[in-house]
Amino acid sequence: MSDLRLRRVNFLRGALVASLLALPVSSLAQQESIGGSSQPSAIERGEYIFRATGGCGCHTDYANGGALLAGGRAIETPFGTIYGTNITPDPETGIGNWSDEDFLRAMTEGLGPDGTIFYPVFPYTAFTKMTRQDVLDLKAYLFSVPAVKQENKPPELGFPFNIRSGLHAWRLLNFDSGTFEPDGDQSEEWNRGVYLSMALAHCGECHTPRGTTGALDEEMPYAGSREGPESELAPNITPDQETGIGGWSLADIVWFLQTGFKPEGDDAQGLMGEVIEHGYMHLVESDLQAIAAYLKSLTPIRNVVEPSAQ
Amino acid sequence: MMKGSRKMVVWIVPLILVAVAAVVLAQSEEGAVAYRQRIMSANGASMGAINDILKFKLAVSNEHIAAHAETIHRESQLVADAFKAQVTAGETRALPEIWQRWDEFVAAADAMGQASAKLAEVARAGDPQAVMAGVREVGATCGGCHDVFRKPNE
Repeated sequence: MSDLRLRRVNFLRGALVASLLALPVSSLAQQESIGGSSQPSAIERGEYIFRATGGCGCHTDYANGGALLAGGRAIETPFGTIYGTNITPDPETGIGNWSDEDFLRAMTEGLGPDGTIFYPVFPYTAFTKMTRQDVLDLKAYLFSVPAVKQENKPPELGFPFNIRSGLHAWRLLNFDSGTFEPDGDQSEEWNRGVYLSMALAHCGECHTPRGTTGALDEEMPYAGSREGPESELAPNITPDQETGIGGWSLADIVWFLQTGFKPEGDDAQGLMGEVIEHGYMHLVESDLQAIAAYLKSLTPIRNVVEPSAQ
Repeated sequence: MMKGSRKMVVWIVPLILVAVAAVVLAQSEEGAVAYRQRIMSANGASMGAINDILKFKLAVSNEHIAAHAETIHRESQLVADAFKAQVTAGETRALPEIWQRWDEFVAAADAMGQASAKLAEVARAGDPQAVMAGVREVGATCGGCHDVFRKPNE
């Protein structure tokens, strides 16, 4: 059995146990809403946010047996290779010295404590929509994982993308800062679905095609991308019957996010398999239904996603 | 004249034989790929059936889940033999890694067999949480093998 597969199966076993343990947390959350007294801690709430983001997998080098969230994972982009950073609470090489405000600024503004501007491969463009409470809960969870001393690797980008100051112009053009505002005309479930999909799960970061500067193409939300991270194709997830997932029912989408199984019985692979395993399958069913309801409400876009002829 | 045509026969017959052999070989390779794909599609169909039962909370007995899981288990025992011949030509997503890392490939098929046998067992026992865990475990063996040995879909 290959290491990768073993890890995957072992992780899953661990995750199943973890999900059983996590169950009381969601029950607690429900109890809270009907007036129960016990409330989940910030770390427990933060773990749920962590799962909802898909498990922050860019920061763990799973393929090479890297420590959880210690960075070092190579993320190939059309502009070059960028390495996930260490976000364990190690004070020297991780984020252990970051204050709440530092963490908030990084997540919602894309700026490091020293003012360093982040490459948008880190989806602060999505996380900016998170509530302050969710960001701080996530920090509480990240600060609860084992600290690992591991230096970050510098990005390997070609000219002109290696000039970090160029990112200021990019940010000015492509970044809208601000917490998600619910749409009063839509249902609570739909709004929750938008928040989960856009602010936390950041589905569009892979499933929306990008323009030449790497910014998401706003005309083509969720219509699929040829150049997803790690050179993976991201399918069209709009409800288009022929080229999207219009043939999937709400239950199909929920089940897929719970198990990784597509309606025809095939399994999710690559990054999608990973974010389901480490993230989405741990969410409560009502949240997955909200995501499904939002995806079903999207405008269908006809877009065939095929490998570019290189 | 006779001599010339005899010479031609001497050349043409082997050429025809080679051509026929190539066509037969190509056909048998095509057949091998199609057969492998049938086994995998059958597994997908069985898994799809299990998914439907659980996803739509169908009012059928757990024996259905057990039966589909057993089908996967039986098919898993055919995988190694069906893939023995190294055919990577034509419409196939099979990666050369299958034959380069043959023992791991066989172990992966075996893992699917074990996970599906276990699923059949827990389905008959009837604990819904164990069934869900069993489904995910079979899923992990599908994905675990596909990630390494199958070309990405798109």
